[in-house]
Amino acid sequence: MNRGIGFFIRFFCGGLSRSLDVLGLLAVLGAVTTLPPVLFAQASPASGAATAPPSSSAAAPAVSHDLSGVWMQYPDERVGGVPIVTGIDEKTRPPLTPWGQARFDAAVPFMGPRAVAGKENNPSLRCEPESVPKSLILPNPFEIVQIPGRVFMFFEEFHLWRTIWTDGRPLPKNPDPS
Amino acid sequence: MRIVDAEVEENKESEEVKDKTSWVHFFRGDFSVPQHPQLLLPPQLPPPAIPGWSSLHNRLTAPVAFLLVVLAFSPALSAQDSSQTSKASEMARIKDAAPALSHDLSGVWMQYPDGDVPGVPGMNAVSNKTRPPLTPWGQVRFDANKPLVGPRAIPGEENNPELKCYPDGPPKLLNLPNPFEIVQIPGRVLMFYELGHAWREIWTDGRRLPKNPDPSYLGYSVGKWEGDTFVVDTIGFNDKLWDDSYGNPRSDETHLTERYRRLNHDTLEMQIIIDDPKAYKKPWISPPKLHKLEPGWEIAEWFCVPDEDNSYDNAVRKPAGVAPKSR
Repeated sequence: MNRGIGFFIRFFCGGLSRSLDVLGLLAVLGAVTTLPPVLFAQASPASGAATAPPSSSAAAPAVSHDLSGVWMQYPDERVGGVPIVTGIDEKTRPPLTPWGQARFDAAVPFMGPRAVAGKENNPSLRCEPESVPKSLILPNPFEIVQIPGRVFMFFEEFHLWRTIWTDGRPLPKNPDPS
Repeated sequence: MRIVDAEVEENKESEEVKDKTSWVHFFRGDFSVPQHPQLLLPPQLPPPAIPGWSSLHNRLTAPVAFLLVVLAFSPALSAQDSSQTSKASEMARIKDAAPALSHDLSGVWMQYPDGDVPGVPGMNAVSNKTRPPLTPWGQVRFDANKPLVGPRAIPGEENNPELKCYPDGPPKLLNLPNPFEIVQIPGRVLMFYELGHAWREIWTDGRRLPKNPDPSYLGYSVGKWEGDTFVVDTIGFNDKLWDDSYGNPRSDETHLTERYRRLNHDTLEMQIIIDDPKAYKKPWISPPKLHKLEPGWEIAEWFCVPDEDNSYDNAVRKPAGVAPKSR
């Protein structure tokens, strides 16, 4: 199964030892950002994986109000059968506020046109906790479990879990930032 | 059905642990032993935050916590007498609680404060008093592991994997006195731990333990009911973590058994048995540990955040000359 960007994040946070050469890491990052998309396609999905969503008439009818199960993003045909990070679509991003622009300018990703090898500061590189919405768009499997009063979501990425309260409570007035 | 009582092998080291750990880690601001919430907060609120960890429940300032620690150690409160009194009152409360629900372990649970410090949960679900002798491999690892707490703690030398925000796993995850929640669904029991926002799943669909699992921090767990006891078996650990906070090693040959029994509606008994022939010369059987149901609690967010730990180092540990070199 193609883990996409999740693989590289897991590589840095799950397999890093202090003896790893930083330059070696940067070389990997540079390779990742400069490799043509066709090479991502060669890390092909596991056999049997669908390459496009089935038509709605072909799938079994949905069970009412049941989201349970393990889910994986469909691969995007634009990148040769690889799921890409489009759950939040850059094309529809609205203009930034001044605060947002300052933060955006300060954030140096390790992918995309603004990536600068050696300057990346994605919090994932320091194994800072991940969260929604980014956890929802990274192409890694997640599971939904429903129980009375709650829906749980379990993300393979960083083994994250979250609770969604469905017991009718309103959002808190002044929650602690988290 | 209960396992046989654990052997109690008193040895010099365990005496040292008993004498020193009860206050050393507290005054050093160790993260892993918060005050018992019943002493400090209304039952509905989670425990206070520990410095260096991101937490939602930073509701009490350190001075208040410190004051209560001082009171706990005042001459008027003999540790042994109040411990006996608190244990007696806890047992009385256990007897009065509503009867257990059959095969239902669900709820948010918190360790009873039955440690060496009055009113504070002790890290004794994995009991140092019953630790068997180490193998040569285990001894090498134990000697190399420099804990944050206990008689072997040396400020600045600590190398507990938690200091680098390694994820925690059983059995240490079960031993640290922080709330956890059990949720039962068909085919699985889910456990959610406030410490590190960890979670694990225990498969109850009848599957067997895998033959050759990939080593992991949490291991692979299966569970089944034996009468009124839920028995969890876990294998497949890596050897990057410790069994407890004192540096006792956890090898990849560990077979961990947990036995859960709901004594009544409000009380959960947990017993931990570590069978790790690579590290210990015989199985490590700890006495059962009691937990109290906390109906009003929700598991709060508590991640280990490297940036926040580094900030705490810069603000507190380095000026005090006790910043761990391993970071």
